[in-house]
Amino acid sequence: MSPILIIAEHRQGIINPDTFGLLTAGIELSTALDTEAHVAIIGKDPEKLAQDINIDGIHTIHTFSTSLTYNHDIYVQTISSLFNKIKPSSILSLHTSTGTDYCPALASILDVPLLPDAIAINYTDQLEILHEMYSSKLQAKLASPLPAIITVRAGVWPTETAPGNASIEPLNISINEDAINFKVKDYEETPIGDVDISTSDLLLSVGRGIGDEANLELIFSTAEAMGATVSSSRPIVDAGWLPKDRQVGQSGTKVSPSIYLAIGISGAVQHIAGIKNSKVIISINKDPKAPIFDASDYGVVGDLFEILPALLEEFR
Amino acid sequence: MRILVAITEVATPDDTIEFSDKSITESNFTYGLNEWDEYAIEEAIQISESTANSDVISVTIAPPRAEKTIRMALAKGVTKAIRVWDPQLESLPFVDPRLKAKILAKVVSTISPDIILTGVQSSNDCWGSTGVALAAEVGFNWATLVTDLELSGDVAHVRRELENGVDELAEVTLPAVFTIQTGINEPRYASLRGIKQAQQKELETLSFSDLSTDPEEFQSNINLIEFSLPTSDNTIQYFEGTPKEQAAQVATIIKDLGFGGG
Repeated sequence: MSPILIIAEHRQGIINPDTFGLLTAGIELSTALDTEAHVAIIGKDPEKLAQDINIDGIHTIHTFSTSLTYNHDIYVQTISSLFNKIKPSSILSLHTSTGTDYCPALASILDVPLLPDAIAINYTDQLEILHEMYSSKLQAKLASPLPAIITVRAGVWPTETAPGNASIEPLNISINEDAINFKVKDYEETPIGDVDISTSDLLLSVGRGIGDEANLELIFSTAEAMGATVSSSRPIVDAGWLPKDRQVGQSGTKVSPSIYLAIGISGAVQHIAGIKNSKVIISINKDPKAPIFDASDYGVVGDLFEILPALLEEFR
Repeated sequence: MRILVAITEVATPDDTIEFSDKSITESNFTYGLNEWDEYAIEEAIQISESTANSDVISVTIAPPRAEKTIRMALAKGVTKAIRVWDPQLESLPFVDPRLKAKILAKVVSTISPDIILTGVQSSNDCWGSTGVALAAEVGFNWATLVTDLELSGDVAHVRRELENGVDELAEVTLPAVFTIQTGINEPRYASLRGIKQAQQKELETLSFSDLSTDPEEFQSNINLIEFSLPTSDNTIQYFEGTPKEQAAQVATIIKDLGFGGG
């Protein structure tokens, strides 16, 4: 069997730590297929980055040096060339803002199946993945022929690794500059306002269930009474009710308080990714099947407009 | 400027999902527009309103049931709608992103849009992949996770939302596909006048034979083995009782951990 090809993720000279979970997923699949695990790393100074991911279980690291900041056109061209050279059994990438930006195009151009957002990968006599649907309330076991492109959810596979001894092989590929029609100009970070939710030890976090902007008053008064900082899920920020620096989740801020109190938050995947390091998660939601309960230590199924006023009384 | 907006209909998140190994029972669902597509429609309409000689055409792969949802897009200001459906799709549990892209690509070639907008993902399928697959299929450029879009000649300046509070500022040459992230704008509600007008607007239906001389090319290369409920090894303690009793138990946990003056 030909090797598994894993595409390492990095930005501004730093390996995305979720890449180590991706490497674990790729090494596991290569073991199941009884084949080698190869890694490709594309970017500035790739030999240096290759040292950081030279872990036990990786056979070869293919490097491609480009002076351009992340560019999906270069990724697609480089990985297509490498695909034709080593004919991998499958390609694995993270299901992130980067992976979802080039993998679907790569699948179309190589004309291979695309298996998005895998939370489990198995190979016995065929390639199978688990994929969550309907806001994480249903999962689908999907199968496809090899080779396939799989985008892998961050934070699912273990990230512990041991040093390895992979050979590092620079790729000799010529890029068609005329086909580069996308250019990164700059990066910007969300400025932190008067509140830094990443340092708060007690977060009272509000979601779509609050229904109306006027109801935020109840949230703020409850938070004040118990000494909590108010944070929120994405829809509250999308609606413009709270600034972006209050948003908890994958694209907002990852938090790690002693207590995360989730009020009317259903628990989208991207939100859960941002709260996993909380010590205790307490959730109040009217939907008993809300995915937030799968991440919580304590749960209250009920109407937040009945429970919050009672909770406020407890701290008065 | 001609803008194509690819939109999808979804079951609302509160719906209880009934399913067998291979199919989802859809009869108990309440349907509506996919949340991300609400923002894509608004962005398309805003661009058309500020650009002379523009029209916005929507395309949806869905059974006849979806026409009520599609009329809502027309009521908001979409000029014309296209709905693609085929008996071949009825037997599929879902339409995988590459198959979606292949079908949509045929529509793109008939209407020749300058730009294509679609939501980052649908809340039912959660592929998060169709926009980029479509771009590659039709040879357009693309930008994903767009939270700001400014067109200037044949270039688009975009803000892309990455992880951990980091945005990327990028330029992409048109024609291009943009996958639109929630929060990019404030989606409008349809006016009563818009709802009335929507009934008169064209909603064209196309089947595979309208799109290709070889309907066999619309095959999925992904098979469903089975649907199942998510398993969880999480242990959770639920607080029961009246709201007051539930609140008291929550307060006890918070106070026991040293907060709230406990």
